Amino acid sequence: MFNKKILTKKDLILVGILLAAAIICILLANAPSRGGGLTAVITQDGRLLYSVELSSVKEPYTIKIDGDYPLEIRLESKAVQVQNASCKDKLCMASGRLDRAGQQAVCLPNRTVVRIVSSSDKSEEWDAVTG
Amino acid sequence: MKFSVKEKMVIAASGFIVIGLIAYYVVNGIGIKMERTPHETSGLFAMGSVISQKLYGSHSEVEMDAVANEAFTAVKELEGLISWQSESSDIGRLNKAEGEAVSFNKKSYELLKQNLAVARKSSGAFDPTILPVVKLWGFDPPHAQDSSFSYHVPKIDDIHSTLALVDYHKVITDDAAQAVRLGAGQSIDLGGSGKGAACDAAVEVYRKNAGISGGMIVVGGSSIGLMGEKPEGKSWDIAIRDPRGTGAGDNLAIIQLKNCFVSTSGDYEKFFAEGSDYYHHIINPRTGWPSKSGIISATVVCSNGALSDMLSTACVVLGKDAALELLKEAAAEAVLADDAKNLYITQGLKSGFSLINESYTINYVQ
Repeated sequence: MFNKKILTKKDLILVGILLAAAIICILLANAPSRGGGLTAVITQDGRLLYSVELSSVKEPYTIKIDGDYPLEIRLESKAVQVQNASCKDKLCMASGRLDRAGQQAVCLPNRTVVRIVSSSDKSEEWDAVTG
Repeated sequence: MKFSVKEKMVIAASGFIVIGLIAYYVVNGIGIKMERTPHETSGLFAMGSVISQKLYGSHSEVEMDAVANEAFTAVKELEGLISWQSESSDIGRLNKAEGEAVSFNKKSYELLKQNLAVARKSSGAFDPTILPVVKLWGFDPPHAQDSSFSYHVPKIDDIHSTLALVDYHKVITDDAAQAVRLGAGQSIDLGGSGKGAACDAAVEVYRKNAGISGGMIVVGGSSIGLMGEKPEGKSWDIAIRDPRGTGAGDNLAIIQLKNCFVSTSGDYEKFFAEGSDYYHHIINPRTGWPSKSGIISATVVCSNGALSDMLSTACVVLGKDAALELLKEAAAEAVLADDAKNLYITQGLKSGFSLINESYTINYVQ
């Protein structure tokens, strides 16, 4: 009885495993909320043309959207932006860089919508924008 | 290997923790999420706008899809009745009738009557017969989207002669025959109420479906129809765009709403600069020139979509004092922004209001 330690080596290993499990759980619970998990969704006439996870974009690139008023859309690792529009208004270009869930750029003449959605629905700060 | 009592306790405790964590994730991550995750559709076009819908409720995905489709169909039907760009719509036929009476569908007739009522209440600050002047400025969709067209200030004589055609008093309606007649040379556009009326049509569809506990339709980013509430009694969070913001992410404030309609008009949607002056698309029907009332953005909340749409335009034209009077008469709430970064917020929106852009000054008004 005298030589029995309060904590044995096996106890320490168990405590270590528990701590590691707890830390991993906390990291998992908090990880996908901000920054990551943004997807650029591009539709034309309601049909899905592209759905691009922004974090998967290593080098920025441009995609062309055909139609009566073709568009050029630039994808980056953290944002998406209509770079060129062939209509007169260019309202979609005025929407600027989209880098947060819930933002969108709309091209009426080419019936195209570029929007950012988040994989975790909690990170959208509003349901809709009026303006 | 033998475990001591103490070791067994530690193993049992860690087992409980793991089971507890798994249960927590199952309940929060999967179980509740089923109800919390809305059915969303986006990217379809009607009323010259993009339409988005968000539905909550007990319906299955397939049923939700059917409701969203039905709502979109209702909006397209309304568009078919009131689009002035279509020659076969009620409005298209009326504008070509050269003063003859044209019979209307019930829905388009009611909407036209509602337009005339707001014209009267706003003493012509909102006037559905403004179309000829809007065309003269080039703010109508065919001009605004034509890349060969460039904006310019019209000749003053042209503004005067066209303005003579603008007068809602000259629109004669006949309830018995559900027919409408225009004055000589007049043409009409229900577009000032179109997006809001589209919200009314969609919300009517949502309300018929017991499986929908909350529904939202957004038409063109300016008019929004809200049926019911979000799960757990939560309000809908609606962001108001900053009228002097630079991109899609610049918002002025957030208002929390349930079961109502919201529309915003602002001087920043279509505009051009000539010389040192700035010309926007909200034409004052009394002058024929872009409105310069001091109010640059008006967000109106009320129980009818078409009304919220028309009132928001009227508020920009009227300016603060007259706008607040009109809103009171119409039992509508509003957030008005002026060109000196003042916000005027009516009492009914006070509780759910949160400012984002702090360079604006809040004023609560009656």
